[in-house]
Amino acid sequence: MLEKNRDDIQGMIFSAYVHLECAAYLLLRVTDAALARKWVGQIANEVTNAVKPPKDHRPPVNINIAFTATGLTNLGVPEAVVDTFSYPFRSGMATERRANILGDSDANHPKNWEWGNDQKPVDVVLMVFAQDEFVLKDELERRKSQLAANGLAIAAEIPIAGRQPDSREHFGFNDGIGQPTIAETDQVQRQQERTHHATPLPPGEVLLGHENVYGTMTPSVGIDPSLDPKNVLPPCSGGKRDLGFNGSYLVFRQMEQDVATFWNFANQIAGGDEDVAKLIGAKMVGRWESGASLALHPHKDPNAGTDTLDRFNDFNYEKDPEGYGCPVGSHVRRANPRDTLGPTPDIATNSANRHRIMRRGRSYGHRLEGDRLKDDGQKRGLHFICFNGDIERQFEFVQQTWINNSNFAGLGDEVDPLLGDQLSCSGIMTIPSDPLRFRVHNLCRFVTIRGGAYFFLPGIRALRWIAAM
Amino acid sequence: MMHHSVFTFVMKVDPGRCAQLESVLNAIQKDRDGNPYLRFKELGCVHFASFTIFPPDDTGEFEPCSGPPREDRRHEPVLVFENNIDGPIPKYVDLLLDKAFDGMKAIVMCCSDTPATLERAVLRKYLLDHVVKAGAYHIGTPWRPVKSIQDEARLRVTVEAEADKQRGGWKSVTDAREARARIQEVVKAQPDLDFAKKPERPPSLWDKWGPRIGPIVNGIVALVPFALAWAIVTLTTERTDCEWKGAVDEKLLDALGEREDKIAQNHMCNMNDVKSGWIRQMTMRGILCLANLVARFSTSGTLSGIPSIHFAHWSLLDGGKRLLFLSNFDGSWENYLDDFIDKANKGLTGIWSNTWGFPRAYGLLWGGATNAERFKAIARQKQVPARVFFSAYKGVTVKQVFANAAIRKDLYTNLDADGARAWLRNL
Repeated sequence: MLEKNRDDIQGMIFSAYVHLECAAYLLLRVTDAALARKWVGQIANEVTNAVKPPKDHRPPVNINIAFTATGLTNLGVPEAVVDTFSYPFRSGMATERRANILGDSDANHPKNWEWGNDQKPVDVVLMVFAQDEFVLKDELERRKSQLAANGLAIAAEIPIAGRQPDSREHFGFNDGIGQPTIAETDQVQRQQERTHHATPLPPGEVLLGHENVYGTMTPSVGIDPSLDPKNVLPPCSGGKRDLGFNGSYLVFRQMEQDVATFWNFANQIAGGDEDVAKLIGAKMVGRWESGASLALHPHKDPNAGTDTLDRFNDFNYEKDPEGYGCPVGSHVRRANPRDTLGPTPDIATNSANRHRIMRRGRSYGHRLEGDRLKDDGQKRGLHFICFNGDIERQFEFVQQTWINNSNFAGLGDEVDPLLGDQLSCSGIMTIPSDPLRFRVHNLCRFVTIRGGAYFFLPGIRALRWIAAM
Repeated sequence: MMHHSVFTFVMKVDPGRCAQLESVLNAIQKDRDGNPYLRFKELGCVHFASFTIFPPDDTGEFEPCSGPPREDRRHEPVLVFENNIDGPIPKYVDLLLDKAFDGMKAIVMCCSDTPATLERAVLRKYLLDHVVKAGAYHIGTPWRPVKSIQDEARLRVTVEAEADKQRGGWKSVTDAREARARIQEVVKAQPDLDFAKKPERPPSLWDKWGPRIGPIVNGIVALVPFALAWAIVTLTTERTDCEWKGAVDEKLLDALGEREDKIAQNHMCNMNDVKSGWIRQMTMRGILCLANLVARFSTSGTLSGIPSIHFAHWSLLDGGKRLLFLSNFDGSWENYLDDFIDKANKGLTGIWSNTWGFPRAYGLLWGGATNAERFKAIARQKQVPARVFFSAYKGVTVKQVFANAAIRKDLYTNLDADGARAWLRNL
């Protein structure tokens, strides 16, 4: 069923394009609806779909595209159609209510963002993936030079996601290990090989108009057939045509990381002992820098100092219920509590899997070289991108009920040490240990949100419909 | 040890005085501890309380499956005053009149059946006459008085602070019993924590079984008629009942969103129309009896595996035409509803599938709430934002009530090294 939709699905839902090591995200505004629609039509012909090219014929550049609610409106999509999309997408990420749910206060409040708020709204994100820096540069120059003539303008310049030395994020931790997969696709086997574990989810967790974890259809975007006279879109229930089918909601957040502050903080608690500082860093993250889980390796990083990446993901917290290895409040245990939130491990795992997201983020900026206690004044961070079929149930739930919940899993007064809403360096984190727990005090923000938006990444037929409107 | 009362005062509001009532309630909400009308904190026995005004004819704006809204769905605006309290109801009414006589007068003045004079005795009778007791209720922290929950939360702060002192650096302490002894000293030195020297009286066998007798009898009596009605519903109307397919009103979502996620707990207040006909009346009443029976045995903090409910209850209004649901729960609404869907969907479907527009159920208990999308939609659409929401312990979750009680219970007990380590795990 899903296989025959591959030519209608944008490729980045199924693949992280790891072979294309450089990426850039062009944030655009629509200045002329008719011209921009024509441009969308051209993009629809170029966009990378999910059909797998033979390994030696992979193109040097992949292109994907997504739109915010204002983007759809500014392209001339009728209000009645935009109104059919889900409420969080339409309201956008920068409202007070969303800020409350996402824990974006203080420095992270949308009013302080560099893009995605009312001062600097974004309509379109054009995502360009290239095999190397030179191809990316050429591609970007070419694309940018065509914008004005196509009724588009740059909304905000954000850093490109250049080549990284390995799959670690800037704090130094191997990232992207605990990733769900879409059932009935080759993702399942790839993930199994890579991490020795795969959680297959029904396609509706990522794609609109497909069956989801509840066995029902993920709400899509049914529009009146009179709006689709050329029958571009597939039919859906109620005699309508489905604009959402094979599309997905894309969450984008630019997260700036303060690497030196993070390691200085750990180092200060450790009293200058480097090994203890690494342990404290790992306790906050919940994995060692190699990616090995503290639930399996509570005392030392099995792959420390080697290039071997411990990508073992086949674990739960059954043997570490108190969190003596992996603290209950650590980042990865909050972001995916696996089997821990009762009443039985099976029910808990089942419930936790109702809230998974497909991450597709990439780091930007250069790795902090040499002494990571010394800031080099360079900006670096993560362009966090994820896909989900239901923003409220998936991305926002993870953020609100797990990451930013000060009462998560019986804890109190503490939020995620990495991504939580740490107000004025007053954060706490409990690190369970026997016989008496340790509490980290005065946690600061190590991650600052610089911008963000909810996008809709349409299926390719839906792109054609937008273009032909 | 304390018995709780879970109930509402339900009063019809004089439509001409709605604005007046709203201004009173807004003043209470704005400054819950200092307003001139009603200061719950001073009553000392209130765990959670709320005021909600149900607008008139709230199904009028609804698209029914076919045709206009039924006449019997029209009603006057109603004020629901929810109380989850320590002790019996009459004593509470007296306390309300002692401490907030003018405030209660100001509220009752806005009702359509306000007595001609509002002397104390008249007002007392009026209030008692408008009590609606829960048809089914759950208490996550049974037998725990407000004061104990608050005191024990303070105790934890002191204990945690001392633990922080002992573990000022990364280097671990080694002796659990010594760590405990130092904590005991610090607590002892604080006179406001003297309560911890004495354990709270645990509920006796009678305290535990007394409240179960009625529900057991009711459950037995209800079983046969319920089974009959259940069979009929399953075989007949269930398959053709109206399912609401609409989109949730966004103004309502915004209004709810504005009030939610301010403290550890959130509030949910829903009014649903019970499907018409005597058979549905019987399934509705029967299932409430059974739910109440299950809840009487759920005394360790969870209900069907849901660990986050402080106080929740259902009651039938208007002679059974409408079902009122009130809940005070920890954490986000999404999380609460997902717990319903994953851990308690049969019970929920059993109750709410007797109300209008609920997603299709099979055999009364199956389906329904497992249609997560539509269940959440109608649960939101039928929710009404409370005008006033009071919590006596804004930062304390059900889990923490239990953990804090465990700290107090064995604070001064003579424990061996393993016992001391187990006790320290509460931190």
